[in-house]
Amino acid sequence: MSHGYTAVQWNGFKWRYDLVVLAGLAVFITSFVLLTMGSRDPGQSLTLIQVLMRAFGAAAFLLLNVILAIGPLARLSPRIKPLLYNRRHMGVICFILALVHAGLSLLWYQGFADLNPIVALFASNTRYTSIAGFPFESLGFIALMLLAFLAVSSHDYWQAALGSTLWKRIHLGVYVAYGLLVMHIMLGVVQGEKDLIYPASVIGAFCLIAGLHGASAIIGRLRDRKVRASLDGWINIGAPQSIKENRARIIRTPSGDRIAVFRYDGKVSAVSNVCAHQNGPLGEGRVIDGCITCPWHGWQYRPEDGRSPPPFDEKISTYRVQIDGGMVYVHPDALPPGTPSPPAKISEAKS
Amino acid sequence: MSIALATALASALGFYLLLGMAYGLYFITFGAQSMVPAARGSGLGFRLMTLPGAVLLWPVLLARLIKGYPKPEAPRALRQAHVRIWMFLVPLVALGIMLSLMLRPAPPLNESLPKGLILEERGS
Repeated sequence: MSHGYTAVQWNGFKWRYDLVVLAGLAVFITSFVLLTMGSRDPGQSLTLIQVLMRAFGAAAFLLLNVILAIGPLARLSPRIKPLLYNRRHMGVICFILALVHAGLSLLWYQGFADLNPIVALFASNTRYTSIAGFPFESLGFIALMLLAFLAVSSHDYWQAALGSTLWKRIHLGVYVAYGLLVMHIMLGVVQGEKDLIYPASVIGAFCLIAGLHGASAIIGRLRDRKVRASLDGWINIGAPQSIKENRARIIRTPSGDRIAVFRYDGKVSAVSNVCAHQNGPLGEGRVIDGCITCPWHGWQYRPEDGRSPPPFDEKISTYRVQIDGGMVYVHPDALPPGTPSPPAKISEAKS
Repeated sequence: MSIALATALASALGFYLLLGMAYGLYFITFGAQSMVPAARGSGLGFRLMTLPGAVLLWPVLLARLIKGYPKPEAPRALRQAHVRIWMFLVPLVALGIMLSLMLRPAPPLNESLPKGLILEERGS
């Protein structure tokens, strides 16, 4: 949350998380180099630089797939949610791996030319109308630029400095970078390699990621309880007892907004289901110490007014709520973020 | 792409980064805290960490300083943008994958034969 900034707010979990990621990547890169060097037929040998180039590129692509898989997997299984917590570190590591791959490639293929390596990269192959000889390097370059923008703006500070809307729009660029990287590999190494493991891995990974995002969207829609507003505009949620204590029921309004209706401490409140931080699903979180706590990164909001407790100043939209005839009703029109909305008291409603 | 165009692109990139570097130096000394007051009093490590962001994002940061912040969009707008990107990406990448496989060059004849069967080159 945005009160005071440090470069990285390290804790034991983050250390362990990063160590596991780095150890896994070290094993992957070492195995890739050893297997590639060992499995080449005579006459097909690659230099160590070329193998390292491919190893770092493959590691970056693998990590990007893991990063893109975590979001939808966390929606499908709560056990994956802890992986979301430090996903941005993986994003920065992914960019560094891609940068090493690009640096080695530029050094090896363009580093000894008379031209500036960047100029040589774009000018050495102009067959943009050919598939087999397409200058795939340009796709990788654009993807690297996109990943650079994402990596340098991954700190919470940038969300506050750029504004939430723009920050989130910029970070949607990861999908464009992913598409460019898939084509960078398909039009690059796959064209020159007879080994089917390259196209099979890339196509399999793309189908998996696209399938996971599609499945997550479909299941999310099925899980949401879509409701119809009654004649006077209020939505009947059901009996308060049907919501677990300190938990929420998520509903989707006819206009498509998701509302989290929380039951806690003998009261019911309704807030936007979307965390102001990284769009985490607040309704899948819990009320801890009187505050709604996002399951992704632990950002907290008071249920009564959607404001983070002092000294923090984040806000989410609230909704009007009432209990009538033993049923909870929510008005689907969002109040401006941080607007107090009195909770409906369950005990009073019963009497 | 011609060498002239590639040179112009590389020069533009270099100029962009040079301006970004100049803005970045201002940003890590004064700009970071003027944009987000909560950054006041933050340490050198944090300020240095914001430098690459300021170098790359300087046009947007300048626009924010001059024009201020737009109204936050509704969460569903972002969700819809997410869906639109995938709807656009999947057919486009699938088509690219198909074309790249269909038009993939055939391996040289020697490589397409079983191991052990080597064609000898005929001398002229």
